[in-house]
Amino acid sequence: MNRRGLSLIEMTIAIGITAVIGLAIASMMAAATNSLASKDDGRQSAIRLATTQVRLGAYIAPSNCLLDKANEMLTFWFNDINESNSVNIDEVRWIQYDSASKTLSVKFVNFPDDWTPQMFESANIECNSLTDYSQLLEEFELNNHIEKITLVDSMTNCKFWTNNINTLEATQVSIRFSLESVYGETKDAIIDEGIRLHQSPSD
Amino acid sequence: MKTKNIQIHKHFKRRGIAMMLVMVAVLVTGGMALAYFGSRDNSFSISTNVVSASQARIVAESGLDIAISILETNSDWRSSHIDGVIVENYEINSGKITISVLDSETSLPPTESTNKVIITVASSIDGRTQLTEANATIISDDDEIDVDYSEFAVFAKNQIIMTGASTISNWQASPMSTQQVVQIGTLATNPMAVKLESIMSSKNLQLRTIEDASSMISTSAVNTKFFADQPPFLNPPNPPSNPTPLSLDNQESGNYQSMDNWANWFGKNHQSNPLHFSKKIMVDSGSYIIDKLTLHSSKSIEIIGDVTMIVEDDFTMRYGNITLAKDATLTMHIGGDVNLKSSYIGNKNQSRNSWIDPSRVRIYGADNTNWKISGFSTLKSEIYAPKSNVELQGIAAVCGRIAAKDVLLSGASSVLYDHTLDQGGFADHESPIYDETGAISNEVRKLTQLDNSAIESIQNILFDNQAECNVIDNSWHALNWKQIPTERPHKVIYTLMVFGADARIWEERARQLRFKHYNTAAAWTDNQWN
Repeated sequence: MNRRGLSLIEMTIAIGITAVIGLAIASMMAAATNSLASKDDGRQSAIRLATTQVRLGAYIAPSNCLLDKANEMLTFWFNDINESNSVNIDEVRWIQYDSASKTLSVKFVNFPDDWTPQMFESANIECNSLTDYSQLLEEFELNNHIEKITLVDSMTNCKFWTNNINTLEATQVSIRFSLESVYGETKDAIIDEGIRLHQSPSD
Repeated sequence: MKTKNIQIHKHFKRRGIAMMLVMVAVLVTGGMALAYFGSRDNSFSISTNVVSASQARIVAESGLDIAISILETNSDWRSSHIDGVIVENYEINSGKITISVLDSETSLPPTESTNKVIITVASSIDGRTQLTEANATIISDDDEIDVDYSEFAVFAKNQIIMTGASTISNWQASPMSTQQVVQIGTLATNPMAVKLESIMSSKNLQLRTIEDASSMISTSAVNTKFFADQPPFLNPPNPPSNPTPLSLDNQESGNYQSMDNWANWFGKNHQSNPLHFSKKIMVDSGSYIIDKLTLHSSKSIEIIGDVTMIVEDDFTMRYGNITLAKDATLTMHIGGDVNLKSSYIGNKNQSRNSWIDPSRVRIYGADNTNWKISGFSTLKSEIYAPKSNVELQGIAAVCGRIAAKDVLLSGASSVLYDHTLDQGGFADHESPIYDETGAISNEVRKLTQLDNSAIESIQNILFDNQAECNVIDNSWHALNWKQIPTERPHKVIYTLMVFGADARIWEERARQLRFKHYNTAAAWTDNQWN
């Protein structure tokens, strides 16, 4: 009897074993790839969370004080560049969450470069305790004097808290938010940032 | 038989190889897959980076505290630095910090005269670097004796009268506005020499009198303290010799006010014809003398450099202003009466919320004269006129302090005291002005006027004596250094500018982007962040 080659049974067994092992490897690869993508997504979310903290911290920590708090907006007295102990409009920063575009942005006044110092001085109004900062923002936006930087995008929700009902006295700001990701929404994250050297305006 | 054995052997060998090949292939493929997935897993590195960056931020914040502490001490940071670096690679909690300071006015490394600095703290942990930046003002507690009553918002030899809605309070624009108590003082002993009849609160005022003063010296209940001894009220310093005659006509630069200061014409307080030709007089460093100084709305003076101005007779301003350029100082010696109506002396920003060190503007009154400051005048200055009556009316304000014979505040006028002027002086019983028995030292008693050279020589004597006493104290300190903290005699006021990341750079880039694409929708992308 010629014993060269493999018998049908041998071939069937070999193909069967190979198929089983192949399937096992394929399913293992699929599971690993899925896990990898999920991990990648998690890592991206973690990096975005850390970036959000850094970007918000860059505005909140050095600010002098919180001027106003609305549902989707915080208004800060960012610095006192005029050294006047009072709030001028170019020293204000609005951190605003836009639920339509799902972005968290910072807005600030930017007067045209070709303005004279006198024009700048008259437009750079001094605010007081009666100032409505939301209305002021709208007015300046209408005049195209507001610049916007997007801090975070794909933010599905965002809520603000402070440690004092009187916003001028608040020294701690908490932001609770979640981000969009490939695998859905991330769990809520909370960033807690303090105003390091709190100083209220003189009036 | 031999042939059969060989055939059986070959058959057995072939079967084993197939299985072995499959197993090896599976092992190699599996190993490669595991290595690939392992190389893709950088979660640990990422989380390490995030943790390191957070730690570096906190370390930088601690570094800022260290920097402020250094500025508060007597260390020689102004001279001991390499290009502004005062601390390099100092280890703190597994991180390293480097602290550098730059003079904020020159943007150069600090010099002996530096009092305003930009502090930059760079911290790094595992290669992650974070920056913290702050602007700081150092208020030096120099070894100087203060004998001009600058610790008082108002000091009067004879009487202080406050009526109407007048106020004496802290100047909120001052970097030391957090101080609460404002001192007023008098050498008077008679009852009712201090009449605080203003409807405004005077609860933050503290009155200092001599011990012999009547218990009824004040008309209202006010916190009263006594001088340790009866202090002298020194004459003002002599004006410099050989001053240059000042002519207001010759130095006019002839600027049109409509071009130079047009915003003022639309101000509610301006009452002159807006088409009037206005002249700004620039005065450079030096000593000048003028018979009478009269400034109306059509004229203004800008001081550039260190200027001493001697006015032999009256000084009158109506809607006029004298402004100081950056770093300029003005010393005025007024021989006659002073009448300032709705006028201004101070820095270019005329708002009372804009601070200038009042010691940069010193106004001395030499003779028995009358000073009237009225309307909406603002003087950011020190007024020292021991033989003059100073009266503030309307909504006039002196942002600084007043020392005079009589001080009268009426209407809604105000004295806004700047605590940066407070160096202790006669109100400080621990001052070297007083000897160990609490009496004013003989050297100070010999003074008759605010003569800088005489005061300096007295300072040297008094502080040498104090240093001798400290040698004894220090020997004790040396044994107890662990319990005795380093002295921090200087005050440092600072504001945080950057924490971790510099938002100002982002904003500048956003502005540039807007400028580049003016009137177009400029998109901010992730590329602009770093």
